[in-house]
Amino acid sequence: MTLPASELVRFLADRAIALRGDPSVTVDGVAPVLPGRRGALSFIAASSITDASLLELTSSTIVLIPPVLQHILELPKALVIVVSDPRREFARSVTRFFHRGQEPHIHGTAVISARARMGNNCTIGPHAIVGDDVELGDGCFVGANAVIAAATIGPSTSIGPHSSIGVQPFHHTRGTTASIDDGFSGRVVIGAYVTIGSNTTIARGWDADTVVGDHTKIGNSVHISHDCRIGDCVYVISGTTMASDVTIGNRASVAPGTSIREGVAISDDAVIGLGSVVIGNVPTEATAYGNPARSSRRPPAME
Amino acid sequence: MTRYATSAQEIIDFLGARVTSTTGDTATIIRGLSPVIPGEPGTLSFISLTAKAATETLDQSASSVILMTSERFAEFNGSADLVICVDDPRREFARVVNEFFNPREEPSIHPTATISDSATIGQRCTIGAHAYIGDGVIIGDDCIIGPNTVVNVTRMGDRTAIGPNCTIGHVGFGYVREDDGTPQLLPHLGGVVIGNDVEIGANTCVDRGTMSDTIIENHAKIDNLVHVAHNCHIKEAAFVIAGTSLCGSVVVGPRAWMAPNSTAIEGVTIGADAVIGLGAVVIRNIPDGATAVGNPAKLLQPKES
Repeated sequence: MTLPASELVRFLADRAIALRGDPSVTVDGVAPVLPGRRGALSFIAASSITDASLLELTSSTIVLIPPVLQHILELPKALVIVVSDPRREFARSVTRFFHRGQEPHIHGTAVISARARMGNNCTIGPHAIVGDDVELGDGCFVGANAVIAAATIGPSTSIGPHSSIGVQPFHHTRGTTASIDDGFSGRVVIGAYVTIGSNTTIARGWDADTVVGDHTKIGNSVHISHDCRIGDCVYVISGTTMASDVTIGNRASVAPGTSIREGVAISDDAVIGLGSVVIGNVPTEATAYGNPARSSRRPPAME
Repeated sequence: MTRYATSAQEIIDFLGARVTSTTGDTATIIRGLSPVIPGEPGTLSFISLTAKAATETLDQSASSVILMTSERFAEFNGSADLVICVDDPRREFARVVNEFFNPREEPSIHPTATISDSATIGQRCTIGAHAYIGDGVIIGDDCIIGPNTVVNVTRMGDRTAIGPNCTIGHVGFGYVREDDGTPQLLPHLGGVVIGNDVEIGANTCVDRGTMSDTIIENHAKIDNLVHVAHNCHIKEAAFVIAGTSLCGSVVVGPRAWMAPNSTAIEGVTIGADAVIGLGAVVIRNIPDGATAVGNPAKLLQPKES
């Protein structure tokens, strides 16, 4: 599609702090700011090295820039739009103008139990399996080869390819050969607008449920064991493994490759660094990293 | 050409000038392969440069033909019918196995695989059961896609092999937070580009790029359970080994080596020929040829010698 700058500016409304350059240009897509592309929309993140030379080098037609850059510039080749958070405005703009949603579609090779309760407008990928004891909200996406067993999943939630949700946990007792698999009566309960990546596993709860809150984003190859409780708007990024009964508060972020010991509580707004081994509780708004992870109050500058 | 029995002389001819000496009966017939300990009559084995077993233990090998270095042979008192001395036994063994003993299955596309009408599949490809090849995917000649593997928005060269249960080209983990903390997706419009002779193990994920592509160059080898995030660039012949997590836009230099369970924070560059240790947490750029270990990863200084 062709997007005139005027339409983009109208969409950004009062979030566009200033315009510099030619407001009559149009763009037809997006590109990274370097090398950029003629006819593309790009952005310079507020957190990146705010180097004005990026704007001299880019060949993109419209660039969203942070306020810190607006005073040190020569007039740009095309159009720059000053916004307080370029990455966020870029995400909003791409979602609005360039992201094609897919029509809901249940693939012919998907296996869906007659007893599963499915909402409207769901997409189920090839070879995906939706079991007997599953409730899917409206507008859910289930990727190819994903397996969903004992689970209740809220509306507009997305489960990536190869993920296994509501499967039996790893729970064994030494000294007995008896299987206790049948003892698990809990389920997995996932909220609305949650995204779960590829090859991720979430085990069902023992008698309570394993819970993932609304708007939470979980990456690829993450393992969430039985009876974990994850809050709203949390990030759990790729390759993280948590043992049973872990609690994660709202808006917390867990970086890739982290391991979390059973029963640990990570409080609201905490941040866990890359590759950490978390063996104790992490307080509200703390940052913890290392092996074993140590917590510190986040310096105010990071807020 | 695949054969399952060969005379030692054929192997010696194949290795040519890389054979430094032979001792014993070069007409010995080899019907298979075995580990040197305990070894097995009628088979070929090798003793690697780094083998830790004691000389007396290696002498007990029951194998008929053994590849070893001439230094090792000077101490060898075993009863093998033939010893072939080479400078790098493991490498020569790999060459021999590839040439004489590697069974290549006939290419086939499993009837339960789902391939989009708009995908392009090259000559002689094998696609496993329940694999899914999405719209517009391009796969070169002689590629292997393992069972259950899902491939979207990807261009792939020739002779590339992807193991079972991989997810290639799914949307990456890119979000922005609204003021109330609600995450919003940064839509992903890029793809995945994979070169020639790349190998990817089982259960590995390679995410599509946000604006430009995620790139894996020729001869790169990626193991099981690896995560390659959006816009990573894995350069020629690099090794990324099991359980490793690469955050967004990480560059892994040519021939670099990332040991199991290592992680790299977004945007770092790991130099050419660098080595990253087991479980290392890389949070800074690593220079060419350096070795980095630990959490956080620190450069290992070369020993004075």
